[in-house]
Amino acid sequence: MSNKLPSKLSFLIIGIEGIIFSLVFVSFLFFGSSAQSSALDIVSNSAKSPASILPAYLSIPQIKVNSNLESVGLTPDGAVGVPLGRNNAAWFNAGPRPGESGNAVITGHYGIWKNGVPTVFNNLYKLRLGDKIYVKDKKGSVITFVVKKKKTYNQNDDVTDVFIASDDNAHLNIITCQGTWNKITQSYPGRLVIFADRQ
Amino acid sequence: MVAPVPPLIDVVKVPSPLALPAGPGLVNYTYTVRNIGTVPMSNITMVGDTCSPITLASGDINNNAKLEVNETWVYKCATTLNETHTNTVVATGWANGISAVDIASATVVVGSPLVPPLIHVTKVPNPLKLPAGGGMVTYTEKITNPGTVDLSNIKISDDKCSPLNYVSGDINHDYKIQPSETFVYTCQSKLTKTTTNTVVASGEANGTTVRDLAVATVVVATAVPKLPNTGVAPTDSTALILLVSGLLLLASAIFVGAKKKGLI
Repeated sequence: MSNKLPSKLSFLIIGIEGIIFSLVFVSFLFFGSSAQSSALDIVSNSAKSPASILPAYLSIPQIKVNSNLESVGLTPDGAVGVPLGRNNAAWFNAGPRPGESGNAVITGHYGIWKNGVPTVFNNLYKLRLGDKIYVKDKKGSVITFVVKKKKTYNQNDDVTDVFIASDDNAHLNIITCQGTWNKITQSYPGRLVIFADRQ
Repeated sequence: MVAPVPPLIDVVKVPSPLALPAGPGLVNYTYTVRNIGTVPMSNITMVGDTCSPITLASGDINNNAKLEVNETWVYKCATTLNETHTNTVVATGWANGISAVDIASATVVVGSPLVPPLIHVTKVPNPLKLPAGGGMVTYTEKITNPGTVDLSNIKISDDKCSPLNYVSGDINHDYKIQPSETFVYTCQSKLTKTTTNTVVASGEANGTTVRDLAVATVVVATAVPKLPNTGVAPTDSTALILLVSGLLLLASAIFVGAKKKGLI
């Protein structure tokens, strides 16, 4: 009888550690994976450059962003929608398509996701003027944008220039949060906007 | 978003003489350009179809090349006409990235003593700009007679606003516009987006029908969305880390305890 007890405890320990390992493994499998493979070849496939595209993928090599693009509209309170996935970005479909005249807008999350991994635009602030941004459609066409300006907006700021262009050129503006998390408002106080012009 | 104020320009063209009964001769055109809006205009251009050059004679009081609200610029052009001719001029001005255009025509009769009529119409919206979502605009149209013969059979129509209601102006109640009279009409329209509309006025005298048009733009501000809430609460990760750490600690404690008791 006494020989069976150690064996049971060993199984218990192995079981617990197996559960822990499975939890961590599954967590990273579902939430911690980086970009989808479909977005990875954006930079290399730059032969086609059409007037405008229905955006499907976003690539920003400088900050290692390779993400799928969801399509979002306005929320009930009149704000631009945000992507469902932590590693996805989202194109604002009530505005111009990338490449069209005007300001195409892309949004994405900032902060640490539920499993402890960073979200798509955690390093957006690291972009510098002149960095390249690539937007690709499902057929493989790519449009390249170049970062021209970085600006942070607060809640009551006039954001007209984020959505309305002052010329007829094609622009891409990327929005994410910035600042220190406010537990009361459940949000960050600032919004970082990267202004980019079509190359 | 704050909507820019669109400009409004007005041009009147008067030939002298209006008729050359003895045959071909020299005609002097006088163009009077006014700013009937609320913002100064720059890049004023005058383009005539058959008379050139059109030269600025006076009006830029402060010599800043801008047509101010209180300024009236006078241009002149001279040409020789051999037959009855209708001459047209297009006046254009710019402000806040928006253009304003007005067109004026005038007919000179050659070889007949019949004097042709002249007609002039202006259109002024109030307000000139609306906030996002739009609203009501009242257009005021004024018809005047810059010629020398009374205008009858007056007609006025707007391509995007109706009905046009007569307000005042027919002082002697003869349904004709004398050179001293100004007929006033109004029209109301609910706008939801930036709109440019055109009013056309016509009248008759001495067997000739004359027309003038006026163009006005009302800018409706574009609705700008709110910025998105793209933040993720940073506390979410702490719970997971604590859970994983706790389970590992528990497992280690069981393992150490069992070993101490010599169970493994």
